[in-house]
Amino acid sequence: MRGQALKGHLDLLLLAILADGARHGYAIIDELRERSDEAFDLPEGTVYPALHRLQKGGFLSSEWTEVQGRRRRTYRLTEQGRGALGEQRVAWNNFTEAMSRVLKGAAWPDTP
Amino acid sequence: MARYALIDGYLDTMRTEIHGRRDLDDVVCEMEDHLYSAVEGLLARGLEPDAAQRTTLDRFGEPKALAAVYASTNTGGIAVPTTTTKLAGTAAYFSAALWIVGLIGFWASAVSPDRPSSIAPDALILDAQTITWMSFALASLAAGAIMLFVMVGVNQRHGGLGSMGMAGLIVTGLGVLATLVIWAVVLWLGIMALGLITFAVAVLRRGIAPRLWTIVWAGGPVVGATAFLALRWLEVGTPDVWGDYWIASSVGLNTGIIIMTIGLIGLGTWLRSEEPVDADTPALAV
Repeated sequence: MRGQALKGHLDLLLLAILADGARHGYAIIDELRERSDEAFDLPEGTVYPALHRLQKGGFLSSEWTEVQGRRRRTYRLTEQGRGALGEQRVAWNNFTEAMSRVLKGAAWPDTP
Repeated sequence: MARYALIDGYLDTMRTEIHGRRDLDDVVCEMEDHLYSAVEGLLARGLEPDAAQRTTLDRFGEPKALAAVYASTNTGGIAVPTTTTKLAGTAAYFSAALWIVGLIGFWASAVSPDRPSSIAPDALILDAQTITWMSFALASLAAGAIMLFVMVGVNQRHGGLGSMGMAGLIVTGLGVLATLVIWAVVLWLGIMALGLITFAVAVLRRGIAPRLWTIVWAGGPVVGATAFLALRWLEVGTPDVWGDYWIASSVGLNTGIIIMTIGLIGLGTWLRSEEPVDADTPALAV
């Protein structure tokens, strides 16, 4: 999936990945690629502005550490972010399940 | 720690591209950590240093495009379709319809039998000319107000468009207010053009809304105001009793509004096509 289609859902994906624990940017992007079997393909640098926006909105918090002589920022889901993810995950699941039921359809019975 | 020249050069370029941010050092530090982690990962998989750096930079993104994303992303909010954004899509249709109603009022006033050939003392009495002109003004004011709600929806769909998006929204709002002096076509169309272009640049930088419809929508008033000014400058046609150049006004107004409404309908269709994440499960047809 190219960036254009993915960008509209990137925030939800980032919240979902961080629900499993704190991660730094590179790890988040790596996880995004791995969980999607490399289907989600967008310029990696565009993930950072989204992380910063989510942090500014109170959905994430971050802290700096030093690793191998480099400064590293690690992001963590806040309570507000966890709440938002929960609501939107339920809505999304309901929607995709309903879509699946419609798309699969039911076998038309054979006529005698 | 080993240094990589291509990565360091890229970081210098990014530092220049996004200069002026208070958190510039933090942003560049974060990029450095990402790029170096990625290069080290590729080196561990057996890539040569040069190839590892080029692959990493290809994946990270082109500096100018990335700088544009940074510039337009500075507010807090989740960029998802909601019931509000879907409602804004429906509002876009109403706004487009009202703009066309306004144009009909404009043309009705042009062909009105009461249209004066000279300014008389009773020129402002409630005749057909005045009524059609007022319907043009009121429909345009209502269409503009609804279009502002559409812009709020587009802003929300992007999780906020930052100060540039807000500036575009405010200036467009001033343009809508200026439709109260509806006869000053170039004034309100020009202000609206300025506001919509500013807003559209913020939208295009984020790359979520359809590029074509965004450009058509914001470009309409720009084309209209430019056409008006060009025809007015060339003095095409003869001035009417109020000194207005009717051809410049009508060409500018019609091209501007019609192009803008086409873009509005396109944007509205896009907003309506996305299922809101805050809505109940959609009902299945049984």
